[in-house]
Amino acid sequence: MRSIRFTLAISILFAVATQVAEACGYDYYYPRCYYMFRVMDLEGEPCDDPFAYNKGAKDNCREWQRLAGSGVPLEDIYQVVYKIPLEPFDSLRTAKSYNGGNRFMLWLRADGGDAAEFLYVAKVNEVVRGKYNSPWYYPTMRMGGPMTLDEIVDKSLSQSGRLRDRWLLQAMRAMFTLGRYDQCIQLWKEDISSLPEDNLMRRMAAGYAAGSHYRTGHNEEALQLYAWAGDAWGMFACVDEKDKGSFVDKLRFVYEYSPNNDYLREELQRYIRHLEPTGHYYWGDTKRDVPEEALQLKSLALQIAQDSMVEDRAMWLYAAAFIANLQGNAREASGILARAEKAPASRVVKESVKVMRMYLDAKTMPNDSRYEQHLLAQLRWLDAKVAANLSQRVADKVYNIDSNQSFYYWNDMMRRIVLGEICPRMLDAGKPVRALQLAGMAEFRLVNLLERNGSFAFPAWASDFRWHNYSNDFFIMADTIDLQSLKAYHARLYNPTDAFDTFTNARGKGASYVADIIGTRCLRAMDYATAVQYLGQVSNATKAELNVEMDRSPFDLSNKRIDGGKDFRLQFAREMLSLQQDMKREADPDSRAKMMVRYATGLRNSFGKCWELTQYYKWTSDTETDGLHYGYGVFCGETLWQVGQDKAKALALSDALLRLALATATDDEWKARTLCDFGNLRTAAEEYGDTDAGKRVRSSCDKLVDYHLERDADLHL
Amino acid sequence: MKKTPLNLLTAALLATLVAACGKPATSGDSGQCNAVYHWKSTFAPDATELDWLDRHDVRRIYIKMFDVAIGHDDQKGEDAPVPIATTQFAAPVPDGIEVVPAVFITLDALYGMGGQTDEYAALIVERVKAMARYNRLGRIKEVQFDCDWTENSRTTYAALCKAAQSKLHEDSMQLSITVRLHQLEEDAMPVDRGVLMLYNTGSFKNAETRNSILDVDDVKAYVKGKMEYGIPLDYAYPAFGWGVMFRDGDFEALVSNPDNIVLDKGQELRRERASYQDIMQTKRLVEQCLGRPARGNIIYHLDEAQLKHYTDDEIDKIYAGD
Repeated sequence: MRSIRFTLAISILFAVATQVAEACGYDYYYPRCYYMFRVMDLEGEPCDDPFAYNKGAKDNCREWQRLAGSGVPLEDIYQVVYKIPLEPFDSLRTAKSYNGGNRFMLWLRADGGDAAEFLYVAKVNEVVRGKYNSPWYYPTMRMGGPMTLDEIVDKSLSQSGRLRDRWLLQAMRAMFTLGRYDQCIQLWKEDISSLPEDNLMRRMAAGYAAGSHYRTGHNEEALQLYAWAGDAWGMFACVDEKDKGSFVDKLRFVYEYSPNNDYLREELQRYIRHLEPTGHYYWGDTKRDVPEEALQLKSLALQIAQDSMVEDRAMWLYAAAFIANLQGNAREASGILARAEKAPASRVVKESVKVMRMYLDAKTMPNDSRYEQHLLAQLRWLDAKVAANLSQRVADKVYNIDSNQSFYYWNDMMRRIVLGEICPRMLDAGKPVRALQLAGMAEFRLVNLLERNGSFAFPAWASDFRWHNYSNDFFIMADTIDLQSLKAYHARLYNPTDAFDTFTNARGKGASYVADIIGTRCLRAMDYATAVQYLGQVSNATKAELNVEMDRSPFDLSNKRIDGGKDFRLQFAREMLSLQQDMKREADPDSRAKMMVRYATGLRNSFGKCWELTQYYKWTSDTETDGLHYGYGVFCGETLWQVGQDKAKALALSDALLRLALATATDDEWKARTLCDFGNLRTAAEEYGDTDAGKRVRSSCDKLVDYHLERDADLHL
Repeated sequence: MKKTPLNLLTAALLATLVAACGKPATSGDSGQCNAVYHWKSTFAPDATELDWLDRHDVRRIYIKMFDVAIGHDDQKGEDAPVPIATTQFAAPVPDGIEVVPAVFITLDALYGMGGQTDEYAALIVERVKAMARYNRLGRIKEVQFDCDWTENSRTTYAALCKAAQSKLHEDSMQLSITVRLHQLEEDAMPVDRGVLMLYNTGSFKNAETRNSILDVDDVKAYVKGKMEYGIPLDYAYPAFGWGVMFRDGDFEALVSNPDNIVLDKGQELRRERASYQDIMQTKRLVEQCLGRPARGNIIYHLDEAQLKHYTDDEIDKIYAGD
């Protein structure tokens, strides 16, 4: 979970960066911040699944489902067994009719009379036991339930039939609460321990039998039973505090008694996730020292992985490989992971081993065509996982993708490996097209899948504004990488040259979106002919999803508002291109001068009040020429936005054209008006004082200093 | 009128009827007697204390059963009012002595009961009854609440008392409360009776205080002229002492046995004890203003280490009705 880090990141971001950017969104930390270690089936964020953190409840509901039939949903069973309190349950089971839709309740009323009676007594048992366990309890205190615990014991022990094992568990619970530990042990030995090994009630009763042994001073018996029941905390209670030792000692202790205990998996998950690097927010990699305890864990993991009693040996090898990698020994990690790939493994661990293999290969394999083929196969597998595990929960959280918040393991890992490891290597290796292809897939695949699926609902605002299109690592790369590489990538979208191209093309954003970025960059570079070529390929759908719109005329120096429409970039490019051509052809000097001024105005405005023509975001600061970072968390490091340099070039050209226009034109009145339009009042007054415009300046300024102080900042004449 | 058996019966019936029409507290079924508080974590009076009870004909003991304070309630999964410091009963209560279970309620706990006073009243009453049953404390006729309530917590405390009283009346038990001197200025709580605490009259943390246990001048500030209070009152007088330790003028600690203390540099010890003379002067003042106790006087508290500082004659005079 990254919520705390996210909050921290936001705080720091605002603390250090408010003077820098005013983008609509950008990454808050690096994709490589995602946790990778996974030996349990956990999602990145808490979810609403009632069983997510209660495996016992799920197992119990499944047992009920076996009786009630597979048509009764687990969720309905869960509600009745765990959520409905005693009194409402009693009313529901005894009412003349039931109008609710809970199918388990329907079954209880129709066919499960014995089960309804059992659940009633079980709920009474819990209520009364709750009172016994209350801090207000005192021996002989009246408990107030419809039955006493003694009555529950008697009733439970007298039952037979299909629910007998469940009744025995209730008897055990009631007797334990009453402190009748000897009877608990007797019940365990005589009735419960003979139930089948995989009987859930036997497993649940074992803890009470173990507790009874513990309370009667039979620690070794208690320890054995706790170990069998998988209750590590009970096991710890049976040993002296001094014997518990360190974290690794505890793992070893539990392993020795209970080599497949869930506690081991849970603790590995918790501990190694805690070790994973967390210093990638804004300040780049910060190497973390791996503590000595983790190295001891690595040794223990390698030792346990050799034990044939251990079912998930791959888990331990995977853990050891992970620690080796955290130590900076990727090759050692790769070697250990190779052993994990061959060892017995649970489904989750098998998947996690494959993910780690992909990650280590990205770090260690030579970046050649063989690796690309290998990578393609790995990507196919990971992509299939992303596609196969979609849910409404993922759709609800998909906006987290903008800030790299963890919310969906498979997509997290796609971004972690592709954006965090492979793309930088592709760029370093001079393969920018591959980097763009991969980044496009990592950024857009999930959103595309969810949208195309059609069965998921998105937040209402998500459809109004395509928040993700211009706030992602692919966009940052496309808007900053050399233009030739971007054009080459665009060409490969139409004409794939190999299977890699075909695979990634089908998973990225599409040619129209890329054409818009290329066209916009061409406007920035004053290459209007190419801009027309690419912007002409932009579809209406892409235009509709654009994150900016233009509401001022690019050829007007006033601030009058207009509706720029969706085609404002293409229209502008066409007119600038037309002006370029007309200026060359026009023979009349005054007409040519007017064209020059219009062109100069367009240049100036396309980086000023009509910045949407050349940019997707506008910095609040006026120091673009310093070359600012596009945002934080950019995977390719010091990516600088070149708009400051582009703007300087455009303004210089605009000034030169204006000078040329003034030199070309013959009409002084027009010259004076033009100078006034551009704010250069002093020159208008001094050099064209006899014109109407010059006279107006002189008469409306009280003192000459007034127009001396007029800032003709934009026009450096 | 001749005292014939019939007349005596009629008088008894009339008395019962009068009592039934008035407040149960004034029925006096417990009668006048000497009483003492027991405010320790374990009830285990030694032979000297048992002898003391016998010598002074003590027929009622107010035993603190537990405190109600804010603590973690695992059942609720949050901090809530819970019982703490439950008294252990290591010895039986001597025959012939009535026990009045007492419960100390902290102010924080009282605030924590806001809106749930019925529930907490039931829990307190049930727990007291369970303790009485389990520890064979005999027939319980009265339960006492002890709480330093203030104006802000008055409503909650009143609701708690009312709910508890209602529960107790169902079992023919009464509810009494302790009344601190400053509470005399407020309307009485809806309970059956009270015990006016004539000790801890000053602030022990204040270096200027002369005797925080009992200072007649402090009592005079609250008890003056003819006074009436809304519930019948008994009076509790202190029979104890302690040392109050200060360091550089600031309060540091209460010391139960000040005779064994070796002072560091900067430390000062104020020895405090309620003197017999002060007690008697207070007694005269209180009885003059508030009248005789409804059922008798109570000594705080049963501890031989403290009681040995008072002669039998002095104790008898504190208890004495005239």
